[in-house]
Amino acid sequence: MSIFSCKRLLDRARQGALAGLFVLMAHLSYAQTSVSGRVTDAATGDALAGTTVQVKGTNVGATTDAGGRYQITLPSGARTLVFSFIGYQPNEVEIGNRTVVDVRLTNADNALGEVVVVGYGVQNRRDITTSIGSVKARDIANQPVTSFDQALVGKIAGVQVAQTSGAPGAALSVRVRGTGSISAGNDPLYVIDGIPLSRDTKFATGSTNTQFPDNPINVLSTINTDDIESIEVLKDASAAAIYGSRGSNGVVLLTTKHGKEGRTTVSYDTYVGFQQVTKKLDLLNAYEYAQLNYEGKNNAYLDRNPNGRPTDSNEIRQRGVGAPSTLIPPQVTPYLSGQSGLTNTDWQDEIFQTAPIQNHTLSIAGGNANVRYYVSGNYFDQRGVVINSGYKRYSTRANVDIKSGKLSVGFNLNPTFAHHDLIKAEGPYLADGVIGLAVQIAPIWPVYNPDGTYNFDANGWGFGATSILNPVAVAREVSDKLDHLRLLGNAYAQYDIAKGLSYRLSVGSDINNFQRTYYRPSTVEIRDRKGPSVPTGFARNQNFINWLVENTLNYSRTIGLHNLSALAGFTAQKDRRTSAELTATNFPNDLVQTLNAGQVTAGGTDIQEWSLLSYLGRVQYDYNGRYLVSAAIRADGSSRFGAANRWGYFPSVSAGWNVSQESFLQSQTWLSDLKLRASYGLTGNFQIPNYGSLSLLEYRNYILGADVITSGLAPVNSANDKLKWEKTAMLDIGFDASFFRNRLSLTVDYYNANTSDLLLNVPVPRASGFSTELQNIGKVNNRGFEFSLGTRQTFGQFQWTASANLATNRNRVIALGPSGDPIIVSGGVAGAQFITQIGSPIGQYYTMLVDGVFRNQAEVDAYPRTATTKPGDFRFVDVNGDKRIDFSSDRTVTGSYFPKYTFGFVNNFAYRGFDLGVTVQGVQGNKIMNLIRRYIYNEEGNGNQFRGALNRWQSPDNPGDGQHNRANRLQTGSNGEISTWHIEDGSFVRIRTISLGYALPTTLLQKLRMTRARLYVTAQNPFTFTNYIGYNPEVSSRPDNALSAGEDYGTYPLPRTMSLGLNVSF
Amino acid sequence: MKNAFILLCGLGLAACQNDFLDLKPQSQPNVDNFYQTANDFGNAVNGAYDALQSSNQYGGDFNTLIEARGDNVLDNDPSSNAGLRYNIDRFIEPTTNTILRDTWGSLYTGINRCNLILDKIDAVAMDARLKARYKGEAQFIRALSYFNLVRLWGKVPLVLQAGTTTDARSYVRNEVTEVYAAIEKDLTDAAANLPASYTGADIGRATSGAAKGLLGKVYVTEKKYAQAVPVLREVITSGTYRLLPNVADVFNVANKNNAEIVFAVKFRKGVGGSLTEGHGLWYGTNIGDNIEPTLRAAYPAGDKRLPLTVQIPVPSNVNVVPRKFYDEFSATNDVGNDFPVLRYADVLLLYAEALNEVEYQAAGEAFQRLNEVRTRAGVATYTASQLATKEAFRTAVINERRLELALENDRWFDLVRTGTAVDALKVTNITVPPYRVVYPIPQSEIDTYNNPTAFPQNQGY
Repeated sequence: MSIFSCKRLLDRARQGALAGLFVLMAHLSYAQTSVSGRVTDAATGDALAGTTVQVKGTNVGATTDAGGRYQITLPSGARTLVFSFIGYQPNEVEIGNRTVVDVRLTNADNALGEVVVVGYGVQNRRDITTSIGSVKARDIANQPVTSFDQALVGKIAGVQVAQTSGAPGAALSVRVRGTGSISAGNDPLYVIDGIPLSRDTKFATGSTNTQFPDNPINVLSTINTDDIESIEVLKDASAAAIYGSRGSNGVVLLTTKHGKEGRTTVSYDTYVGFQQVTKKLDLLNAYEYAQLNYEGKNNAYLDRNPNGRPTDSNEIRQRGVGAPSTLIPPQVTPYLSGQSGLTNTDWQDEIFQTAPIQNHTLSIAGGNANVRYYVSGNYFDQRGVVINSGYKRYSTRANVDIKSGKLSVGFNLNPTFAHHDLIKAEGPYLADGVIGLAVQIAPIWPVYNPDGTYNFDANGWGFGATSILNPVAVAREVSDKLDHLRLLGNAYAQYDIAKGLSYRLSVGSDINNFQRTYYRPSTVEIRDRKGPSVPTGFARNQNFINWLVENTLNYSRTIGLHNLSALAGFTAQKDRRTSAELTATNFPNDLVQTLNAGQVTAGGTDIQEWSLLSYLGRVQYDYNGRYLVSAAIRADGSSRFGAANRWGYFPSVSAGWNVSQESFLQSQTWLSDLKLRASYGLTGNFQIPNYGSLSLLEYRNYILGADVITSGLAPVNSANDKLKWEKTAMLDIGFDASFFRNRLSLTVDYYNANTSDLLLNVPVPRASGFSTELQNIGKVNNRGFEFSLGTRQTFGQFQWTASANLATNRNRVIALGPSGDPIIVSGGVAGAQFITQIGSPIGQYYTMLVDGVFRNQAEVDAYPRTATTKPGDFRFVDVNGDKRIDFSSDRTVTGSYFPKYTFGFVNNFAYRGFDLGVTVQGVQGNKIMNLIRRYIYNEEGNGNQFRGALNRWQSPDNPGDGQHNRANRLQTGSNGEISTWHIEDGSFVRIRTISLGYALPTTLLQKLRMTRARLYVTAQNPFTFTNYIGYNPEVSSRPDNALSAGEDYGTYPLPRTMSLGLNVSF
Repeated sequence: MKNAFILLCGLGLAACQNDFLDLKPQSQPNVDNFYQTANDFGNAVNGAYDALQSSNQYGGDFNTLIEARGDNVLDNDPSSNAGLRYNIDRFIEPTTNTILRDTWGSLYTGINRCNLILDKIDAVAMDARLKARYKGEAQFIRALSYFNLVRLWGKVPLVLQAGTTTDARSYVRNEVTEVYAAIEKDLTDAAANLPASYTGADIGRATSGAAKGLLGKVYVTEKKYAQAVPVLREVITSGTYRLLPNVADVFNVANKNNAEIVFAVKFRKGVGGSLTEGHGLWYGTNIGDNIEPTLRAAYPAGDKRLPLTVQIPVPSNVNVVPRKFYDEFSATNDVGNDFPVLRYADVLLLYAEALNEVEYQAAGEAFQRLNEVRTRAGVATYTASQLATKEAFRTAVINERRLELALENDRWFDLVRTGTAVDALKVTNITVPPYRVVYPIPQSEIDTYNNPTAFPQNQGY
């Protein structure tokens, strides 16, 4: 663009802005007339009471009465009336010369005329032939959530949103139509205002522990939920194919608010509230714990010294057996006699807190025919329910759209600064996992010593006890901060070349900077090492620059009843990540915690890049809105693909038939609308390593001479130049129907998705020097049904709208590796195995089966057992029937993290100014591998235990409930082997949100010179119904690893939030 | 500018597509641009040594596979890692035991690094002496790896050229004799290629003495005693190595690279980060003594080697560790003892054993060498009347190896090669099924080949 044309554009923009200001002031003087009318539901003809009627550009307005009638006195110059009613599409009507203006409003929930955002464009809901789930601003507004994806829970059939961690700003697991990929990631592609985001930022912060990684942060939480206009989820391959090699996990299109033509609206939306944990684990108190500890020691002692007595002193035990684990610690003895007033710490209370949350958004929006603008600022602060954790966000958004003749230009900028106070919640006690520590540390220890320092007596207690650090000290003293600075934005220019033909150039960028600083002070001991620790710290800096250039041509034409539109485009996107990390130790003290105070022991920088070039095209045709067809193709070339497979092609077709428009159905009154749809398409998953096709070398140093580090290099993987995207072919058949004048709507979809060329680390003979090679091999099938049912009922001034959705998904592995052998991986511990085998879902639990405990010696003798099994130990099932218990061959499939079905139920009630919303979410038929039970449900008396431990076997005469093994500090019978003892039903039904609001009536608003004022209270996660004994049945310690999902090895509990909110507009 | 470039590309200039899409890693070398200079090979050789440091080899797991398996060390922790190590100690490990799998893999990882060097180095011009040394080092590491493989598993695939993963699917389990022949050749070549000693920051690399000493050990293992005698004699008469007067000094972390060390895998504590160069406590424990009482009982009174097997506490830590491998923890929570793979006392004992096997000589040189080791330990020397026969001498020298080389990953192999494993373990109340003198082939490999003819499991498993 030349400088001259820029200048002209700016001139026009200035004129446009002035024109806008003029309109704002235009309501100063006029003659008075009056207009009246009636407002009804377009579909049912019912009167709509309480509709706001406003003279556009003024504060003058009225509200309809019970009969839907209104009367309004018009200021002079009034030209347009704006009708708005919650749940309906607003309607603007020119008054003209009329004195009576009757209006029919269209229900937004099943509005077939509603505009839906699709990839690279928008479409009328009526014309859509693919499967797209849609959520509007009002459906997600005002919930006390960190990011919008939390508000999607339960809203869209086939989109399972699981909040696996309750940490403020932690990532969620979002799965569209199941899990298609085994290793390449299953996150959908997020496209924000047209910019497809890179998934890499999710892992930018790294982890403090490689074996038990931190839950990744949610980079989407930089988006202010109040700025969102709509969210569309492209579910089937035909809708997603326009995103080619990134479409196979579904695509989430997020559109932010833009200014609208009309008077300037200033809005302030806020809520403040407090959060508490949804649940505390039911653990033993100090007295019960001491009893268990004592019993465990005695059983360990008596196993070794059958002639011993439980009353034997430690001296006798020392002489007779010697093992420290059989000695009775003096610290538990006072509890055994029931002495009162002893330390009895509830460690959960010590690490949990009631935490405040607040959100404030101030926005200004408006515009005229030529210029529209939207500016907002947001402050959000959420303290965590676990001490010393939290998340803060400061964000602004500014967008301007300018139209001048055939040229339109605009930009949208969203700078955000977010600050995370991180805490290590994932992982067991040995990984500094705060939750794991708090539930395991014995309640006999105080939090603080009398002198106010942290008590670390549980570290190196002796007596064969596992060393446990003080969780309060770890949570409070370890400093782990993350600053995230993001600039997400785009700009476009569009030129109408000819009638129906336009060209658009769009450039966008997503620039992210992450700075994580970690410091572990001397005041926090190291496990098994007493006294002040040597402080350690690290600093990580990651910069992402992702830029995108898109050129698209759009053409649309109507000839008679034939409607045709076409899209052609060329896009280029590149992502460059530079990172730096420094690790230091030997800080002289904790006074200065930046790395300059310590000795830097390791450091490095890294550069990673990927690029993507694409050609895309789409043609849509319909005949009179009755017969619809669409075809699209995208060609993607990526640096990630091997040299032998650089380009991939992703075609799709879809067709629809609006049956209800056929003459033979016109006479039906019960059927308002019926559209049949079918689609088929190919999509890909390009989330493969940046340089996975090459044989890479890594530093493998060696020590020589006088302890000199000598650099060495060695290949760490083999080369595969055929490496490429994973491919999903999906068929979708469905219909959208509505009945009884649109009072009831139903959408049903069936899909069948075959994902092939799965990226797998295929085991190769280790004699090659490598254990695995990344290859495109393997197939997975996902198929399922989705149902969405909606209804809207009006009883006078009382309104009820409800939508319910239910989705099933069956996941099945079709092919794996050259030999077809199952993939068996271990989770957080060696015996926690997961099996991925042909014919079954990905990552089923593969463990031993436990059938209660042996009640007496006779039972032990009569059944296969381990060499050390005694009465009171677990009866493992001899699965292969070889009359012996073998922990490799007697394993079997014991459950899956995948639910049988998921559902959501959204209810909204409105009466006069009151509104009540209830959202229910349900997940049924999933299992959780609760590994925390390894420590707190093992009856060892080593750490604290679930209260159920009281039901343990104690003797043949007192066998407990037959399920809980005996207390024993030194386990016999391999009770600790991962088994069905550790696997639980994760089904749950959760009341996700209850919200009650009251909106001031228009008459009052006018006096206050306001256009909207609503006060509300919200309860988030108030109730969860589940049998799961851990914190959260949605848990998954490694949500990004499909092969071993569903493990609970310590997790940040979900908060229950009560908030009070206010929405006002002027 | 770049965007303009992309726009132009969009107009159909296909040529720029390749530049845009062909991104090579900038922070990581890849095989396509490596193995091209002398410096590359220097790095590659160091990378080959690195494999020996692996926690699956000398860094840790060998202690379980070769020492705990024997009668010196007891694993008393059945619950940790579902009995992963305990099962090996008690001869009940399943074929799926991950230590077996990972050690097998680690040894071949090292072999592959050596193969890549030896495949590619001839095509690159560099100083002839340096090239010979690099080749010798790769040959030495490869031979050592195969020596460990063949002793642990018996018949194993003999891979002497780097192959693709597809090639690897057609590997078979070669005969034990073929593997030993390759080891002998590698060590013979290495002895010719390697220098006798190094200076400065090269100290610690494999020397010709190390290659010869290891070759002697290989010959003794194969019972090729007549061939063992001359190579071991060369090591002894070279004068490069000697016994330190105080046996404890050999293991002192402040006295690394001492004159008794013929070859050690070297470590350094406190490096931290992902490229840690240290290791965890060897034989460390916090749940009671894990040294077999029978080992301590085998030491004569006043034996200076007995205290080396005694568990002593580590400062600021709940663990105890045998004095032989005592080190204090670094800030990054690791320790840095070197692991003595071959030391002069071992060479002397091997030499004495080989001489005796060739021909028993009352008070001959074999006695002299054996007694050198005993004298240094502060115990009485053997006289010809005490060890009057070849068999008596053999028993004495094997027992001496147990006392001298306790915890140094020799005992299990000594028991197996002398056919005494079953009897020796009986003393510690462990019944050894005879087939368990070699380990089961890792189940992962049996599964990957899925070919019982070319790639069968070891008998009995």
